Amino acid sequence: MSEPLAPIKTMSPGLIVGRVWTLAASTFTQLVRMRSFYFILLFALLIAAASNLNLLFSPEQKLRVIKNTSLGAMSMFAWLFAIVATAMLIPRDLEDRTLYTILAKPVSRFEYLLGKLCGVLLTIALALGAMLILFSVVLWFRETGIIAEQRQVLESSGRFSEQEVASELAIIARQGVGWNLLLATWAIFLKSAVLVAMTILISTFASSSLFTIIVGATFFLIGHFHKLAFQSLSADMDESTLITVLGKIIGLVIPDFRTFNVVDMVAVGVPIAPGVMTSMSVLALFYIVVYSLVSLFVFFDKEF
Amino acid sequence: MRFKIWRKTVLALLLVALFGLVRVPFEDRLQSRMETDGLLPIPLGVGMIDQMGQSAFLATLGGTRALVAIYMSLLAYDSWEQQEWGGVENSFDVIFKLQPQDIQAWILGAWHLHTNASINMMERPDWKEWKLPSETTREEVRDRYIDKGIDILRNAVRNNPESGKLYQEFAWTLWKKGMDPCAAAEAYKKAIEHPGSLALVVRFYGYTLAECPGREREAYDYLLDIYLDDKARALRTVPSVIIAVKDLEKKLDVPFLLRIPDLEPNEALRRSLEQNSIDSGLPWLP
Repeated sequence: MSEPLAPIKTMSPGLIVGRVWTLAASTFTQLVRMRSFYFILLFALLIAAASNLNLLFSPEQKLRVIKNTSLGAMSMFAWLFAIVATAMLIPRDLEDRTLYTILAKPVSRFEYLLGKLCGVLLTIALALGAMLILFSVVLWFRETGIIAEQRQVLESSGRFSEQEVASELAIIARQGVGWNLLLATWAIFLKSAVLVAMTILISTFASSSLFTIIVGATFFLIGHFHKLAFQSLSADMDESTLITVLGKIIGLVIPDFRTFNVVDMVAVGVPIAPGVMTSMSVLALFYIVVYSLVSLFVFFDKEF
Repeated sequence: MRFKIWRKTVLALLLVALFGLVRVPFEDRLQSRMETDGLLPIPLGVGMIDQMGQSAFLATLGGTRALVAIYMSLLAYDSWEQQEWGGVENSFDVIFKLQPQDIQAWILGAWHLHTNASINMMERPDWKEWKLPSETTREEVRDRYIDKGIDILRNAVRNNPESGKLYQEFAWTLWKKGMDPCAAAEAYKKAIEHPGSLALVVRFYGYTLAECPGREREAYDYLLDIYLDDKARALRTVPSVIIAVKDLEKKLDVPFLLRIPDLEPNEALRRSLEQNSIDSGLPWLP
């Protein structure tokens, strides 16, 4: 008499992590094959152009232009990628019928969604990391060159005391490589992570990638100004109850992306307190967890 | 089936809204802290769409203000090359709103108007083609540009009250372009009180006081203190301080025995210093 088969253990934490990692790695490969990293070449060209731009700029402005261009391009890449790449993932898996193969295996739908989320986040993190290293190197070279050049100019003029020279050079150095750049990149990543979670949630409802992209981009735009727009509308319409209620509902449903917009201020040299960064990270984590759970709720018994 | 989808959608939205109830107070607290720290960019008015274009305005919403500011700098540079001062003014106006903390942008924008535009007004051959009221003179338009440059710096110090460098620039512009040494003295006083300005502002405060009617005695005491302090510390006093003290001694009719012992500085040197200052457009730096 044959012994009954032992049940397959599929719920152990190690196996779950392993399956999520496999899915994340395959999503990463899938996105790399879409030639998404070509953007980095474009980014390198952009930095080269920015570092050679001379529009009557003072030495610190020359550094700031590199910083502004790089952080701006990183920000733009991150949000564009977060919407477009994420929107294409589930429909593509459906089109290729990969989704059926994956879900036929002992992989839960939660693991599938989490794997997709981690894959996109991994791609964005690596791309942002590569861009940060690239532009920090360029910025450091420019900073060193500009400071040496300025030191010579200031000292040879004989008009400035040692203290004045040091203070002028410190102003320039403040625009160079520093920890603030890492924090700014982290803020860009957090914002795009929230956007990825939101786009996955939209794509669980959506019937096409195009719909997800349009709705995702619209929510992203609205998420930047809904609070201010409703404040101003409410003031214009004598604190209308309808407008106030509508504003509050939209505020509850759509994320407020303004909270993650610190890049612009970092670019001009405003320091970020560690407490702000921690709160921002906690908030982003909340968004990701809640949106992922709601995505699972929609995706759990979705029929394909 | 359709009902099931709708039910799910509504339930999902409700869940997100429930999360919003927890999230919004936390977010509000964080944003007010960020506002205090100067980390949240000042929102742009809808009126800015005309000045910067619709797409640039939309780009600023996506956290790319800095990138749009560079684009506006390129436009400003192009306008400067074409001597289109209206374009320069408009582009810088947008840059100031996008990045009010960019001190160098304020200085550059103001310089384009109070120096480049105002000088250009006196030199342009196409003066008569301009659509201006017939009674307007070149000098009036030049003065308008100087005033605009001064106004830019006035706004700059209002937006960045901690910047000694901006007060220094504002003071110099009031003094040399606006011909208002009394206001310049007040700005130099602020520059001394704030970090980031050069040490020369300490002397320049005295020079502007000396030119401010009614404050000559105060200027004399102040500059004499600098002179005596240098002597006490065996430092070489810069010639311009000696020139200013000697001028004030004559003006205030200080008794001969109380006058400083230094010789009258060479008049030629004085003229050359002043000429240098005019030629280079830089403050008088002996």
